[in-house]
Amino acid sequence: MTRASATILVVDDDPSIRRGVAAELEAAGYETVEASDGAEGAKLAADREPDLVLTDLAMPVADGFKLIARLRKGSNIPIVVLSVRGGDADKIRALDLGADDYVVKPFSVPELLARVRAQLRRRGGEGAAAVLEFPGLTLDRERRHVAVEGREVHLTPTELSILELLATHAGKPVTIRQIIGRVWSGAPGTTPDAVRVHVGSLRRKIEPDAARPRYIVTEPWVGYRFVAEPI
Amino acid sequence: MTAFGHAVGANATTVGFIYLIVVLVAAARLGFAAAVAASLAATACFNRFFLPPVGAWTIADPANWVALAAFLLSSVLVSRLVAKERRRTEEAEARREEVEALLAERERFLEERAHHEALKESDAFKTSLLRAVSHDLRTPLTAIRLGLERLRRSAADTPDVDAVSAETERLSRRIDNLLAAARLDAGATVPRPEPAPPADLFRGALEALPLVLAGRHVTVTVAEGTPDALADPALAVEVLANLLENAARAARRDTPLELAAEPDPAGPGSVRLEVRDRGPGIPDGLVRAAAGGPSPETGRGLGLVICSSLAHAMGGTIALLHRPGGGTVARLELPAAPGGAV
Repeated sequence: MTRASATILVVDDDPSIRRGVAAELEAAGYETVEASDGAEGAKLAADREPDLVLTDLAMPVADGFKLIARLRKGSNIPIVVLSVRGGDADKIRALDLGADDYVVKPFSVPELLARVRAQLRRRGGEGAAAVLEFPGLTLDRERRHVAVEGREVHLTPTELSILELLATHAGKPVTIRQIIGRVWSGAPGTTPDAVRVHVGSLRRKIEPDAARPRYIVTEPWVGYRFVAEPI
Repeated sequence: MTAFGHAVGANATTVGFIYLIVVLVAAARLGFAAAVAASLAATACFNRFFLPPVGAWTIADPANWVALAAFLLSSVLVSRLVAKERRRTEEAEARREEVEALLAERERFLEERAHHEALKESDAFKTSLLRAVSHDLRTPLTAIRLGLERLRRSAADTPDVDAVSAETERLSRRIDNLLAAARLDAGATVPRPEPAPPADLFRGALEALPLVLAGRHVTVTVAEGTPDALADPALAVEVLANLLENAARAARRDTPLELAAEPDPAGPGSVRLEVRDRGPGIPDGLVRAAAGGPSPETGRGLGLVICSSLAHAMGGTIALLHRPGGGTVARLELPAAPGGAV
């Protein structure tokens, strides 16, 4: 992975935040491009072909939602939203429009950099390998085999499908609706509670410490995120 | 009246009309039944005192029979008309009162609606105001944090930067607390409970305090059979983060902090989430603050007062307890999700 050469487009109407975020990214070795609204962001995304877009939501001219929708028309570039809006409605709307992740202001810089790394890595590994390896956890998608700390774990087909969906989108929040759509093929009558029950039992099987889940994290009201960084 | 008739020497026809007036007055004032009674009495008197033979109940001239019958009939008919008119007037009066009552009702309704709309508008105003306040407070905080990161990279003396960063984190959480309380208070948001595993709530609280907890030993335990909480996850995390921050500030850095979840021994309806420390114990003012009482004079318990109101908004409670062996247990009890542990 060529982390140092990745170019990141930062879109925010507040100059001190835009500059501050760009400075942190540059210090971490990325190249940056800055835009102050969604329209300028869309133009720069076309001109400079960045590897990732970090965007605010509330902006004049064209807001973040418009930018996400426009970018998603012809590209699968990773998009991470940076917004003070902590409301889950905005979060779900941004994710549904095609954003890959959502960081709420004020955020910690290490957290932001971790999210950026996760998205760039996911992009590098798009199409996902047959065997996914994370610290302490291996998922062999062809053999339908999961091992935690070297020990095989027996999962039900539903649990395995959920794990596969989350792990192939490591670092990205997956909504409950997406899980129902992919794992149950959107079968009518599948409730969020059913998803919770299966995720609960999946966690009991793969989490070494149930009190401190390290692989599957709940995104309140939204869904789940697989957090482990691959090896 | 009869005497008056004789005294003025009135003839029978005049007296008949005077009797008729009496009957009419009775009809207008007292209704049809009274008028009929008056008619009969008047007819009898008319016969006895004015129709020959005067002073007797008999009638000599057959023509006077006809006159008497005509008098009775006309007085009854007129009574009926007058009584009917009187009833109509009463009904009209009743209707007018009804209409007036309806109008008053409508006016009150319109007033109430205007009041309600004003309230709604003020709610919408509060919501957008809170949104603006949230944006205007959090944006500079984000810029400050970014500036501190830049400073950390160039500064020779990072402990100062760390101290400022930790205080920024604290300020940031206090703003979150106040905004959450203000939103609930203004009705701009209502708690939105969902089944929340205690482990996720603890994780959220730990992630909210990276600087305060840097270098601290924190253990997390979730007892077997602990149900999920049925709570607004964001509010629950906020409460736990505050309790954890209080514990971290109260207890020495080299003492462990504990986060523990267990079923409520009182029954399956609620779940206990505890933050335990080995600090000096409960400061007096904070007990009142935990109970949601008046803010302590020093303002030290502000976070706790807010936590208590957030907990109540979720149908939960907060209690501060003396910990056996020294220290404090801050206990958050929340409703448990149906279906028990997931």
